Amino acid sequence: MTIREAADSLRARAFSAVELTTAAIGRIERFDPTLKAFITVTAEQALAQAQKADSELAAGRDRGPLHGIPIAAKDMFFTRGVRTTAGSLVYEEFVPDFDAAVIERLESAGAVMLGKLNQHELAYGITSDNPHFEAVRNPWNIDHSPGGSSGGSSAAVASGIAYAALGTDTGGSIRIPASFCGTVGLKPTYGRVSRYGVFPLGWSLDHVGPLTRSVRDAAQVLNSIAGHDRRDATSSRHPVVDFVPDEDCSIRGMRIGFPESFFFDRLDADVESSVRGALARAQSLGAVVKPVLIPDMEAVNTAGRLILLCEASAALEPHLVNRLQFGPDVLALLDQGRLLPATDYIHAQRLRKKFQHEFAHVWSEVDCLITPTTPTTAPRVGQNTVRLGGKEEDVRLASTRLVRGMDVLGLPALSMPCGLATNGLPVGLQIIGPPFDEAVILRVAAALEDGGVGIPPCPMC
Amino acid sequence: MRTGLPATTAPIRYRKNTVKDWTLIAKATGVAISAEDLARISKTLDSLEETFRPLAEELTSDLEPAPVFHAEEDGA
Repeated sequence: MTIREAADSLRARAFSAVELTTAAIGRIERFDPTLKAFITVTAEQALAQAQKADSELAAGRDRGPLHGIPIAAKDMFFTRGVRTTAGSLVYEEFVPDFDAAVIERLESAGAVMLGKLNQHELAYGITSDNPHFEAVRNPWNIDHSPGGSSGGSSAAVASGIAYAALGTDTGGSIRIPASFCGTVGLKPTYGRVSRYGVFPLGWSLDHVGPLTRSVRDAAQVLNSIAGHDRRDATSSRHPVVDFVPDEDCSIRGMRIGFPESFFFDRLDADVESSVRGALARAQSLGAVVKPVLIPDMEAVNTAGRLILLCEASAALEPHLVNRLQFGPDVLALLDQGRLLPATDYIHAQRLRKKFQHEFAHVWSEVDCLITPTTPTTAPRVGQNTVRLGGKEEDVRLASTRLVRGMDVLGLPALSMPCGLATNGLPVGLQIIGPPFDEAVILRVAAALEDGGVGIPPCPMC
Repeated sequence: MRTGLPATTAPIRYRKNTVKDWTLIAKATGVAISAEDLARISKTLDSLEETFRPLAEELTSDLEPAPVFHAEEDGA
């Protein structure tokens, strides 16, 4: 069931918000001992919020489409009075005394918060194999990783526990788990959604966005969380529109580019055929699908890796006095960042500016781009390398290869499922748009979803 | 001008094949990392350096860093 279906049923009195929330808590009790998607479950608070939502609806106060809908948030988001760990021992006992801006906004929209979700430690990695709060499992096959760092967010949504979850994306951390778990993950334009009250990983790269089970649900959540916030210095004043695509939205005549170089190199065969199938579907729906030349994405990724290494090490340096608090993979990254000179960081930021200028030309040729999200389906839990194009590749670098660049460029990008591979795991495709044109990528995604691009419900759902 | 380019757009030229000694850098910057941990990360840093340095070499002096800081517009 999608948010829209649940919202319609709530208003038709088919069930109450309390019943919906009780069912969600029941699913947590049933599935989370296996999935490990939650760090903290706030069942009592959720039921109280649901009760309030029911009372308000009965009294004629309707806060909109998220009113009474059970959701959850990655443990990066500050929640007043509720422990917020960032998946780390550093913040194991941290209880914020205020809510993140997006939590405030979702609460105002009437959403019911089920709890705080497990993730890769400090959001600094893509497996969600958390050494302190256990490895999150993929609901499609529990021997596989859900991806990360927002792994708990995607697992909770894919398994039907939460109708939506908040994630953060610094190098692909919303879109990678969306791809691996078959959910829709939206990374909005940098500055579109406030980062106030979110643990930083890379200040100039951090984005906040939703993971959901349908494209229109992602748009619905974006409607609630987008907009200027003066408490976030990078928050944009760009006008917010209604992001939810029309029921009969068309992509006839839209120009969709597919960059043959880089994005279609070294892919799993099932990933390539599913994404090319979706491109063919877009064409059959009337879009003009054409190859397009794009700037050197390997170079964009290199600049992005360097910027993140430096910013993350700066953000977490005060805690490095106790090295035993960190898992080995995160510690290795933090050590790397401390050895890079400031001049390299500045050069990387200068390169970023150059790439932004170069990429801007792409939008005169096409309205959006379609690419694979990840070159493979979900790796196994504990798997460190993948073989692609006859070459062994580090799982982290392979999984971030096609998504990191959009964090560097600040462009909006969405991952949606486009098929199941022969191993039974979801394949994700990525739609990338011009700055602040989330409406365009959501429209293309909705048209594809309406046109049959997608996957059956997760067996655990 | 030797390159024929205006001074503001001439690429900065670095020494080629600069190999960094991460142990010395760690020592000089006071970063306390064990030899074992340093050995573990040096290979990754070398490979990053190898791909990053040629990109930095092509930068022209008119390219400023991407702005990420916006001053408060309402004085709050």
